[in-house]
Amino acid sequence: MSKGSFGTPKHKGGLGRRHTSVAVIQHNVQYSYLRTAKITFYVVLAVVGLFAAVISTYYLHPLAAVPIGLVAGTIVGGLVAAVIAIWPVLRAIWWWLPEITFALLLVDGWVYLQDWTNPIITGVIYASIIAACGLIPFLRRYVLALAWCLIVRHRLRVCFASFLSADRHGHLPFIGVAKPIPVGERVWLWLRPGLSLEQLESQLGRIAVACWAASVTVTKARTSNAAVIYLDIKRRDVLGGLVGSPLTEELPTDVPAIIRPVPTLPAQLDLADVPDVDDTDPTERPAKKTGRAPAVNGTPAKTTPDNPDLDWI
Amino acid sequence: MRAALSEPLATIPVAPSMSMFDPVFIGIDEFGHPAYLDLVYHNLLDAGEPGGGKSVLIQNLVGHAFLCHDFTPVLLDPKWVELGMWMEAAEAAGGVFIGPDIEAGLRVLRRLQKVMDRRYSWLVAHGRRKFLPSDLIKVIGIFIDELAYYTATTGTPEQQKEFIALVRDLVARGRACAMPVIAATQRPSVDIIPTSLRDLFGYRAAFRCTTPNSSDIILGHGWASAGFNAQTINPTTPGVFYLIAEGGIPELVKAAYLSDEQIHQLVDYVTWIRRTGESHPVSLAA
Repeated sequence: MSKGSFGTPKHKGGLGRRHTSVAVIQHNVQYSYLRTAKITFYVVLAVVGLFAAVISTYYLHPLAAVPIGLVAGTIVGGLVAAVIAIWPVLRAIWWWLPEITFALLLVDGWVYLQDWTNPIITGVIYASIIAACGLIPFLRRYVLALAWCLIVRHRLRVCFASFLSADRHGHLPFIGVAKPIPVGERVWLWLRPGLSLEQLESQLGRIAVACWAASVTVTKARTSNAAVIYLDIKRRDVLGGLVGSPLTEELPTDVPAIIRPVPTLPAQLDLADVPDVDDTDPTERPAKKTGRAPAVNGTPAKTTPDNPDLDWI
Repeated sequence: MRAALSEPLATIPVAPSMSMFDPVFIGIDEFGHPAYLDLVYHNLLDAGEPGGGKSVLIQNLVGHAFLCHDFTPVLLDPKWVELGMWMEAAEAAGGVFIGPDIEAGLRVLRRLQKVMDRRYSWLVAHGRRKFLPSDLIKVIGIFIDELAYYTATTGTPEQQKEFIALVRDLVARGRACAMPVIAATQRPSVDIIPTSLRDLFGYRAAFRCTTPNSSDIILGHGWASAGFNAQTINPTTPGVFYLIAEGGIPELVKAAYLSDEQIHQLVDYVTWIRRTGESHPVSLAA
């Protein structure tokens, strides 16, 4: 989370109060979620409570409808406010969701197998799966591609936290799903207010470095929403091989070759074989000056020496 | 173009029964999918540094075109060695090949302009806006290699201006009347090709460039900063280029390679079937 974009003191390395201002920013960042959660709680409480109370009056006495509205509003508002308040935690869970899921699957699988067999066989099964993923080329490529997808999401998060902060609260873009593509990975992003595609374009080189990739391209994912983009993280060159043309594959083989006229082959193929003849039309040449320009003082500059014997030089 | 690139056909039809209205196979994209171009209704600008593979793409397009029954070639190549390989085939198909002769080039472009006017008159008479495959019209493919030779190198300034004007007219109006222009040059900067001509090309193929600015000149301003920079194309992999269509996103494509032997084989075949008036039956690719 970038803290330097809001209220960060310009004088780095200061003492005393300057350090406390950094702490204030951190407090603000935390406070923004709590403040939003409180406001949301009261708004939802009012709206839901009112609706619940009005609807309850059809079935109950108005005095009984009021506490029902209050209870309903408190429950719903509390749930919504709780989600907002713990949003940083939920966001962290979302970032690590694939890893958490994978770890849970590993543990659950181990426990499940323990119920059916002994630990040695369970270990052998796990070791076999790991060995297969490492030794079978197709599986190895697939696992590595998935691993890069996981890594890239975290590297992008580092990018946004360190040099692509969106707003003064340090909110990061929503980093969506990453999928493997032949040249690397494609990651979808939902940009927060404060970031734009153009800002990302100006930082593509730094993103490529952060993602340990060769290059990165950024593209709008939807024509109707500028916030939805995708990044192509390119780390493999898949166009290095020769691509054959299919045009001749089905041609018959007994086609008679056409009789091409035998051209007169030129023999003089070096520069020395071409004589240095100036064949430029004299009329196209720039005219030679007939004399020198007058001197600054108005006296024409001398073009011939005073001694007529030297004229031939 | 994006749909054409992302929806590969099941097979590549290779036979004289192909049509210029069929998608043209040009190579594979970064995802390993076949890349196709819809050539008839688009003009293509093919640019990049020498040795980048521009000719590989042009040979693909020419090869496909000559295998079509509805193709009339107009080939301009001051180097002779690229499109000149198809000289006999062009003659057999009722087309024209022009070498480093700007006056001959101007004459054929003036003829093409008249043909274009007549085709539009035909469309007007039939209440139509463009030709369709069902019209059985011959698609006149105008392939110009080393465009800068005609627009900035040879001839008088008047001839160069007329050449640019005629090509601009063909690029601007030839799309609907089945007369696409495919032009190749090294760097289509404004001193070589006027912006008014360069910006009319619907397809742009940017092979490796020496600077991001050169890449942007081909693809359009801003693409290099978005990561679509032809300067980053690996110099050891010729034939790789960024392809962009009208309003689309550049896609990295590797052009299919036709060797000299394959080109000779194609030239022999298309010349043979056209000179004898026979069409050898060729089964479609499985």
